[in-house]
This record gives sequence, structure tokens and C-alpha cells, in this order.
Amino acid sequence: MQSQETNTRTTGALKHPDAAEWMAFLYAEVGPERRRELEDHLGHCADCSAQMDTWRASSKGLDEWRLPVMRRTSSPARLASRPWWPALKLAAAALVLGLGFALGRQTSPNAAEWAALKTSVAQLTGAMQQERGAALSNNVNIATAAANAETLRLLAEYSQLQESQRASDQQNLGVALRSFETRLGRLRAELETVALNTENGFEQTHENFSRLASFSAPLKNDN
Amino acid sequence: MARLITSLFAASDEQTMWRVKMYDDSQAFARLVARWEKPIQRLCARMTGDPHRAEDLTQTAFARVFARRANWEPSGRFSTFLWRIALNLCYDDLRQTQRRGECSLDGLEEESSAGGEHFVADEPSPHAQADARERGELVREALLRLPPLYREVVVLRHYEALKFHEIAEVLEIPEGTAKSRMAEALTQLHRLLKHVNEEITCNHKKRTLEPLAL
Repeated sequence: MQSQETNTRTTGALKHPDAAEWMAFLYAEVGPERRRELEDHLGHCADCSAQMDTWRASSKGLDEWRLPVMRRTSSPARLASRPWWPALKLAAAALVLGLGFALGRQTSPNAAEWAALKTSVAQLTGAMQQERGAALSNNVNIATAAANAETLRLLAEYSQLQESQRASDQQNLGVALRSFETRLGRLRAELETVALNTENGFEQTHENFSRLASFSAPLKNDN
Repeated sequence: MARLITSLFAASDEQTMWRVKMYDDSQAFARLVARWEKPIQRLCARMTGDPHRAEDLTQTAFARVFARRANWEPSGRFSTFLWRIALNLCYDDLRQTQRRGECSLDGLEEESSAGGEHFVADEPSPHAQADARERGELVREALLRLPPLYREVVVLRHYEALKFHEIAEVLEIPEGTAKSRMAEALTQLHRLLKHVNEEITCNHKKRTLEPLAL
């Protein structure tokens, strides 16, 4: 592979522009002033001029390849949607597999055996279902009886508990009544004591008043 | 004048792509496809040498643009984003073709004979048309023999008229490198065209095919 000079060459007093600059010149990407300088250089430099002719010829040759008119690829909506080809591939694979399987089954020499096998499988399935039904009802009966027994036991326990609760309540009530009666008797005795004391007090007062009256009578007689 | 006014008020590619990115706007995406479908088809056709494959690649490129809309940075140019995606697809396709052991020059004869009615021409005589087609095929063959590294610069600069600084942006290389690659590509093309021209002349000695002016 021939490599191009990428730096500016100098031959004698002449400074050669590099390949990159010539490309910018060839594709009209240099300013007007630089373009004039490069054109002047080409007029004076046989090397650069020959090189430039080669590049121009290649560039012109490229225009010979014209593309056919191409059609629109697809609707943008389809492009924006999810890629469909993996799904299509899977679907095609599944279809081929299914067709192959069906074809294989149909063309198999053991078709009668297949049918017999299918019947026996169906019978076996029916028997198993019946058995399962019977086992299921038996289990339900056992479970119901156990639940009933448990309920009865719980009810008996509850009534016993209620009874004992009631007896203890009655006991407590009797004790409380007795204590109340005792306290009532004591209160009555105390009240009687108070009444007696009060009566004594009244009698004492009365006696005192009488004595006081007897003391005051002689004093009146003296005056 | 009307076109100028319309273009002044038309949304830029970047504004349109922004709508696609933010709102999944299918109408905006349709506008982008309408604007860029042809250039991308041409790029893919020149890179792979196969216009039919180019149609598929273009479709894939736009599907990928939509799928990667979230990755698009509004600070960059939409065209740069799109050229990069399309070029990467072309490279993938070229690698696959190489792996399958297919020669990218296959179908040369078929295309040159079957696709005649599609060629853009100014109604020249059938003989002149045949000559033009053959010269076009010479160039196509020579271009496909160029390493893709050089071919992409030729396609973007010569056929798609991107400036060298734009090519540098798309390929993420210095502008000077893009120009140097172009010079190298033209030098190699000159040699390849001469070589292919000689091959064809040897194979069709009896035909009076006008050689390329090299």
C-alpha cells in the first residue's frame, strides 16, 4: 500500500503543499486566496501537477458508478415498531415443527397401537377420577364427625365452667350478706348505746336545772 | 422562494429527533425517514456494492435509530448519529459476507444485465448505455476492492458531499486524517481502476469498450 506524504514537502526553494491540503483543494474546501496560491503552485510544479492529475482522474472516474433508482424501504410506522423478524423466525420454526410432528403421527405404522394406547389412558384416567371421588367423600365424613365431637366436648366444658362460676358467685353473695347482717347488728347496738347515753344526759341536765332552781329560791327570799 | 420560506420555518433534524426521543412521535420519525432514507440507501449501496442489501440495511438502520432514540444526545447532530449507525451496520454486513466466504463482487454480471432499466441516464443509445454500465461496474469493482477504511471516506466525501470536518466528526478521527485517507483512497483507486480496466480489456478483447480516462 502506497502511503501519501502528509507533511509539506520542500524541493529546493519550492514548498509543496501536503496531500491533505490538496484534497481540500480538489473538493473546494479552501478559501479563495489559498486556492489562487495552490493554482499558481500547480502551474509551476510538475510533481504536484502530475499527482493532482492522478487524483482528479480517480475522482472523475468515481462519477461513472451510478446507482439504480431505489424504492422506499418501508413505512416509518413499521420501522418504529418492534423488530418483527425474530418473531417471524420463531413462528416459522414452530410451524415447521408442528407440521413435522403431525405428519409423523399420521404416517406412523403404529397408528392402531396409538389409538389403543389413547383408549387405555382414557379408561385409566376415568378410574382414577372415580377413586379420587370416593376417597374424597370418605374424608369429608370423617372430618365432619370429628368436628361434631369436638363441638360437643367444647359445649360440655363451657356449661361446666358456667356452673362452677354460678356456685362461686352464690357463695360470695352469702358471705357478703352475712357480713352485712353482722355490721347491721353492731350498728344497732351502737345506736342503742347512744340513745341510752343521750337519755342519761337529758336526765342529768334535768336534775341540774332542778338543782339550779332550788339554789336560786333562797336568794329571792333574802331580798 | 416558497421553498426557502418553508425551509426557514421547518423543524431541524435535531428538533424533530428531540420529539422522537421525548414523545415517541411517530410522525416526526416519519419526517426523518423521508428526509434521510435516500442518502442512507446510497451510503449502504456504495459500501456494500449491493443496492438490494442496501435497502434492508437502511430499514435496519432506521429501526435502530428508533430503538436507540434514548441514546441520542441533543447536543450532537442527528446526521452524525445516523451516519454512524448506518456505517456500523455496513461494517457488520461486510464482516458477515466475508465470514460466509461470499465475494462482494458476486452478482456483478446479474446486476449489470438485470438492473439496466433502473439506471439514471440521459437516454443515450443502447450501445452507449452498455458502455456506461460497464464503466460503472469497473468503478464499483475497484471501489469494493478498497479497504473499507478508505472506502467510507470516499463515499461520504465524493458521493454524499460531506465536508471533511463532518467526516472527521462521523468517524471520530482528526480532519487531517480524513483528508489523508481520501488522498490515499484516490491514489489506490487510480491503480485499481487501471488494473481492472486491463483485466476487462483482456477478457473482452473483441469488444470496443471505451477505457476510463485515467
